[in-house]
Amino acid sequence: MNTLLRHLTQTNSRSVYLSFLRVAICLWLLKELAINWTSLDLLYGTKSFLVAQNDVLMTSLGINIHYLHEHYFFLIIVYTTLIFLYLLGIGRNATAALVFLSVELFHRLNNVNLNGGDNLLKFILLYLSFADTFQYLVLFKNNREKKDPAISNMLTNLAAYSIMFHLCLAYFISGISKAHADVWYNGVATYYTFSLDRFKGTSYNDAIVSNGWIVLVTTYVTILFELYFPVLIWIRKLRIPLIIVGTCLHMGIYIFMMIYGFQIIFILTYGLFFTNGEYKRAFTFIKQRVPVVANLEARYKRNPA
Amino acid sequence: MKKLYLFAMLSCFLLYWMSTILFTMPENYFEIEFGEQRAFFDRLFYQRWSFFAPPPQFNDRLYYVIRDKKSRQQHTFEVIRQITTQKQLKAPFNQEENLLDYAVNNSVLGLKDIQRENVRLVKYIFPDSSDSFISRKTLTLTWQNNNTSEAIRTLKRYGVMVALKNNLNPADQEFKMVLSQKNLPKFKDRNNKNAKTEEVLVFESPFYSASLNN
Repeated sequence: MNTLLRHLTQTNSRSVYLSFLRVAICLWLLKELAINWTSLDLLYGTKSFLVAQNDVLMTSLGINIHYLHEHYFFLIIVYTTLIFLYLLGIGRNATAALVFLSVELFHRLNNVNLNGGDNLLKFILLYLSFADTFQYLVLFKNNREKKDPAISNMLTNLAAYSIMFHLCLAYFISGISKAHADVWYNGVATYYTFSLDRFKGTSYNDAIVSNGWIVLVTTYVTILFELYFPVLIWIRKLRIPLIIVGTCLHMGIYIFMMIYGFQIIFILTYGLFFTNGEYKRAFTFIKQRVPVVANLEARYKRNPA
Repeated sequence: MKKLYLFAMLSCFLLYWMSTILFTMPENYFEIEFGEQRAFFDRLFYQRWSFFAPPPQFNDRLYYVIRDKKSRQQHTFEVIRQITTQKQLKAPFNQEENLLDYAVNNSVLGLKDIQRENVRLVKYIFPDSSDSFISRKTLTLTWQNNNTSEAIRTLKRYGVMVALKNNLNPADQEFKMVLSQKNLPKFKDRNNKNAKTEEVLVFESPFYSASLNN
């Protein structure tokens, strides 16, 4: 127990990627807002043909959903401001918590267009609101040394592990649910997923699934990847090959099934499986091989005051 | 004192993860025992990870039959195929079509869920009834939700949008919704261009009047 506590409290072992993840998620949220801009009235307005859902939690909290739909544009302005503040690291964890609550609010105002990516995003934002993701890529650096960083380190490390566990959980549940379904079990599922009108991303889909071997391999690789990822990802030597397979799988879904945002969110979480030390070693390796990177670092490295 | 804080945090973390794993797993004994708690958990942390398990083996088709109240002249419009074709053509810059696709298809899924529940109910109440009786009774029961179900109300309103898009004044028209499933060719028939695929009727409403305020 003491070893576990020491491991969790000693350092913020993923501060580099957590900072990157905060920025990436904020940019992703801004991108989503931008591409949905012309459809905001459809999604949240009162004149939309979409009937507003009756959310039990919001109703029990006494929140008037109709009022929020009427004033959704004000909420969008607040939401956008919060994302920018979080992107720049202003307001630290309080802003992070508010961004999470705003995303949750918009999900509850309209959930018809949500998919697994939005679902995972909600949990990532929840966990990030406990984490110190502000050691890099912030507008104002906090130069005050923390007297005792143990609690902050522990919260941050638990948040990082939670994101990783949630990714593993999503894959595992998806894997065992697939194993339970006949078409996955019999190795023909990707024929159906690639042939559905809604998800036919390219004109090559039909040609691809006309080959029975491709269908067989893609079906079983998907199911095996989802079932074994949660276990094998913790084995250091298998981490990179597994992440390469996962990235290919998600890019395949992105291109051939037109499910876009979802894949980006899943791929973004992969980076958390590496620690600061591993990123540092990788960077040193790159610097030795590519002198341009070393020169750039020398030029832009901040001099200690 | 600090150690107490650390233990409390770790305990919360473990408790949260234990409940998340147990409530997210497929239906099992734990869920039966803690059904009420699961409802509460879902209210806060709803999540669903069984993507395409199983994938549908059909494409949905939604038809709106729009009939002039006076002249009885009628037009039929199929909307899902139209939306998905646009979505495919504009990929990857197809967010508007994508949203429309999700809005209409998720409402169709909502309608199907009601329909499925009603089939179960009718079979339970009338165990020895014929298929045609079950089908008729189910359609009637499902349509009884037409003013309360968000899914059916959304589809009714979308019918109005379809009428407007085709220069038909919704006030002068009456509408009928027909939902069917067009089966994909079976895997073994994937290269058989002559393979016949069935289109199965799932739901058919009576004629109704509609507006965007319904």
